[in-house]
Amino acid sequence: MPRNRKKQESPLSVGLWIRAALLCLVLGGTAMGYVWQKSQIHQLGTEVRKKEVRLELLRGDNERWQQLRAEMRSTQKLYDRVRTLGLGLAMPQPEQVLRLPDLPLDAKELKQSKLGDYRTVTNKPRRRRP
Amino acid sequence: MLLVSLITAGYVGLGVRLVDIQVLQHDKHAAHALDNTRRKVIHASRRGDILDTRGTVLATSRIAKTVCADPSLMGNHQSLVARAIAPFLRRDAADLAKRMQRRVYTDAAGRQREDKHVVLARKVLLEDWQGITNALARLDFGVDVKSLPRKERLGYYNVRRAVFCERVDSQLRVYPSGSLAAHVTGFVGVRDLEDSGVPVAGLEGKHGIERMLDSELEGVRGWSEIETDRRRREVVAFREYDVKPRDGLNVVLTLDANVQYIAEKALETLCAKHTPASACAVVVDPRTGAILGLANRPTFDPNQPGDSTAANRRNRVITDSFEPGSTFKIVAVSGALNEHAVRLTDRFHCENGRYYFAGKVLRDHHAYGPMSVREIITKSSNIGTAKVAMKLGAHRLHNYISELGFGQRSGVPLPGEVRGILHPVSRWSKLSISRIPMGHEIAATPLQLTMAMSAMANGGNLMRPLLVDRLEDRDGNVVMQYKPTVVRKVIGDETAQQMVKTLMTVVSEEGTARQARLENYAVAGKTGTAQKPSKTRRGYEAGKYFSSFIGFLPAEAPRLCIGVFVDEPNDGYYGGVVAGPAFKVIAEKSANYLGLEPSEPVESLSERKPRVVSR
Repeated sequence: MPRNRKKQESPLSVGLWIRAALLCLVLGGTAMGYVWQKSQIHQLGTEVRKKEVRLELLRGDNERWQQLRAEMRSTQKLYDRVRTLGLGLAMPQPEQVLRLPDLPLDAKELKQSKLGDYRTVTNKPRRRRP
Repeated sequence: MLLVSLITAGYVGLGVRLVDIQVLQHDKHAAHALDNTRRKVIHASRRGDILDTRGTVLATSRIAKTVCADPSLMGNHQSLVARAIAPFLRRDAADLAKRMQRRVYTDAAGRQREDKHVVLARKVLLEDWQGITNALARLDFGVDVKSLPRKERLGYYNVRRAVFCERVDSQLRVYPSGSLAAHVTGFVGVRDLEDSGVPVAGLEGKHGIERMLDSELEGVRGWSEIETDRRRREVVAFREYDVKPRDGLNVVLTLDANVQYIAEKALETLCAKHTPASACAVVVDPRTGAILGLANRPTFDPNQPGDSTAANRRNRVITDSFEPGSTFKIVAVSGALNEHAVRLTDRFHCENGRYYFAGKVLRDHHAYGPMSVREIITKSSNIGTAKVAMKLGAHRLHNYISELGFGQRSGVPLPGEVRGILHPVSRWSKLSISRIPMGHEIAATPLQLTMAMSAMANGGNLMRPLLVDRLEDRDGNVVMQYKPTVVRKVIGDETAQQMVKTLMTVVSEEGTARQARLENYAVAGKTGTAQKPSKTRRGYEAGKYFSSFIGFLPAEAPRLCIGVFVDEPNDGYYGGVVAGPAFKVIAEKSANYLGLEPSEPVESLSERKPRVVSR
């Protein structure tokens, strides 16, 4: 039996519209996502480059300070400075060096020593005046 | 119809051109496109530092730039740009402006080309390069650039871009201590290389440790392949390869900067007093063979090696060999004692200063009669030593000489070391057995002599000189540790002890080196005074001497062996008089600095009357 022409259903049904819209959305979203992630990559790349430049500058600064430190610590400069400032510093003479014997625990000298041979000085708190 | 045909023909034409470009000429255009965007960037590795044993930096590196200019972008603003950047390059502005003038050259194909790459300065430090870029950004042309038409505006922007730096960084080698230990550290030169078509200005060790350990110090260059955008900025996302550079290793020497300074200052004083042709000093730890100080005069500044002469840069401790004179007597006497050919108490007649042997006269500086072997060393008798050597015999004497390292390189890691001269016994004349024991007919380097004396001090072991203690990476991790090496045992312990006791008498009142005696430390040593052989005729040069003193302390347990060598001194020439005082200064100050225990207990300050110790 032939169908009623007036009541014939449209070939573009709502479901199809929805599917088409979804497909467009997916395609559009994917395209947008692609562009967004490309933009992110570019942005991150720019940041990486900036950080690398900064790192290079910091390394340069570090080297500059290291050189300055090395110059300030150089033996010749230190001796010259001591002389210029008239500090009168010199190598310690043997009579200025106090040598403490490093004896093993079972050494005879240690066993024979009495309490008080080696005095320990501690800082006592000051008494408050009344 | 005609229109349709034209459109079709147009499309066909475009299609053909497309196929031509994309298929037929693909390789050519692809290469051109790559050439426009792809870049290979070389990352220079940082050259390692040279440090002394306590971490004092003797040589370090700084990243530097090579600043260039493209005169074709400058228009007529050369003077303005030159004035802005001259202070950072430390150059004359007028000279810079002249360099930035446009010029044309003819290339290999005979075509006229404009020079677009003029090097203005090399080794420009990073902070100076920053200063240059800031100065260029602030350039004032006297017009409001932003209000100008686009073409004119671009012209002004190009002026700011006209000064640029090369893509590959170079390095500046810095020696913070100046001339201190210059002969040990050495210096560097520039080596122009090409890495995959990219020019690289690297550093190359030319002298000293810089040269000997060049490959360890240099490190490995890194590289990356990048793509650039229209404005030649890197597109990091397209970075294909990125190999980081590996920095060079730090070299830690056995040298102590303070001992080195003490030795150099002592030589300076010596040179001021005796004005010799040259002088050098070596300080060695006889237990390990570690070189604590190695000084030469004249010297140079490794920061400016071009300002010095080749003679100043020569490390005479290893490159010059001399007839050593009486310091060599220790070889014959120690050999004879070790072989039990003589005893210290055996007596020899010293012929009252004139001894006829093989048709020639051998002289002493004083007329000595019978003397014991000990006295022969104390008084430094040539005749007595010759007689001791005759008891030992030529072959055994030659054997001891070579066993003590003479006639062969010591193996110190410094360039230019010579062997010295030691003839085989077959080439000895009849006179040789009387001349060689007193240090004639033989040539030795100051280092060989000092190492031989160290062998006497440490119980008879000849040590290999140790100059490099270890190699470290940038984080301080030890990559390679060098250990003391005994080359061979030359004399027995007992003989070595006898030699030490004998050599201690040299600095006594009766000896030849009273000036080398120390207050708190027992010193043993030997003086040497040798006439210099003539360069023009047979025989010796009148009035030209090589004076030396090699000694060690504390004699009972040596920690320092010091050799001082003076070539052609004026105002005195005896080893004890010329080199002895310098030895004393180096020994006393170094011992105090290193905190060596005095040979005999000294009264403490509290037991002494107050006095000014030093000022």
